[in-house]
Amino acid sequence: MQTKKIALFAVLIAMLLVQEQALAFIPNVQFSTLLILLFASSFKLRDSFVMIAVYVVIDSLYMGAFNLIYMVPMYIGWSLIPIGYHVFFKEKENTIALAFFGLFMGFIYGVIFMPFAVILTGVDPWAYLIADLPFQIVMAISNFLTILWLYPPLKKVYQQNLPLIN
Amino acid sequence: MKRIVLSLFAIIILISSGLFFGTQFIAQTDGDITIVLMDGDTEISRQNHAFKSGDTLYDILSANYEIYCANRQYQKDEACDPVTFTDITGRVLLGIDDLESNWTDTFIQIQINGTPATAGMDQLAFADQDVITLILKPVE
Repeated sequence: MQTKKIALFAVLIAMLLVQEQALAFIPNVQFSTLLILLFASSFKLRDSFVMIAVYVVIDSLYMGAFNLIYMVPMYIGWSLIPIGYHVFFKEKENTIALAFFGLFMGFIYGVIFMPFAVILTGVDPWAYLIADLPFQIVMAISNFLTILWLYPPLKKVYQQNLPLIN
Repeated sequence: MKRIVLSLFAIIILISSGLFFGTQFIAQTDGDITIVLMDGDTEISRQNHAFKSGDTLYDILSANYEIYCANRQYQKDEACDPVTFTDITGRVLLGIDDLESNWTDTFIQIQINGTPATAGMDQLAFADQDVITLILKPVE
């Protein structure tokens, strides 16, 4: 991996972590989906996986959740965003379609945690889903609105100011 | 224009879901419930309490026990003021009589008739003769 790319990854991962902590007082409201989507649009799928792996490890260490039971679903959840982008949107980007993708990912991210939470707490899966639904809705709507309004201008600034490394 | 309409629609869904999930349960009839306090597998107390139409589980607990709740940072709040967590306004039970949770290592699970509850003490629906169990459990 090029030094320039490693340095760029470090800055982008720092952005992800800082915005997440800055918005931590509002549960499930963050720009992570928007930023991961933005980064996925400029990097190869493999690079996105590396970036997300580093992000998940640092985030887990910082939050005191350095445990596979949290890290595995987190990694799967975030990795589905670049996978979805490269499968469905790489050839033709559509902001509204991307916003609906973000909405969908808000629910999927929550559901991915369900089997792990059931193993950890022994709680009934249905009870977990119902209890988690408000948080999924908040994340889904937050993803939808941030992508709808911020993805096009951020993409423009991103392309103008950062080198496209592919 | 399309983005504005979609955004308004999304915000309406968010507010509606907040109102729906945040609905406070109020007992519709008078009755009796049993409150069981457990520290892990050990039963600490078992008491029957009468409730009246309009009561919430919080009303019953605060009237009969010494309770404290979590503030927004999940620290002890003896006033038990309602807090808005995400889009739900309510209370998280941190302690009741001798059962005390620090949220980090332990938590108080609410069970209704032996099944883990899907709502907290402001939103939990209950009926006459229900058994509410509050169990102090370790976070594993």
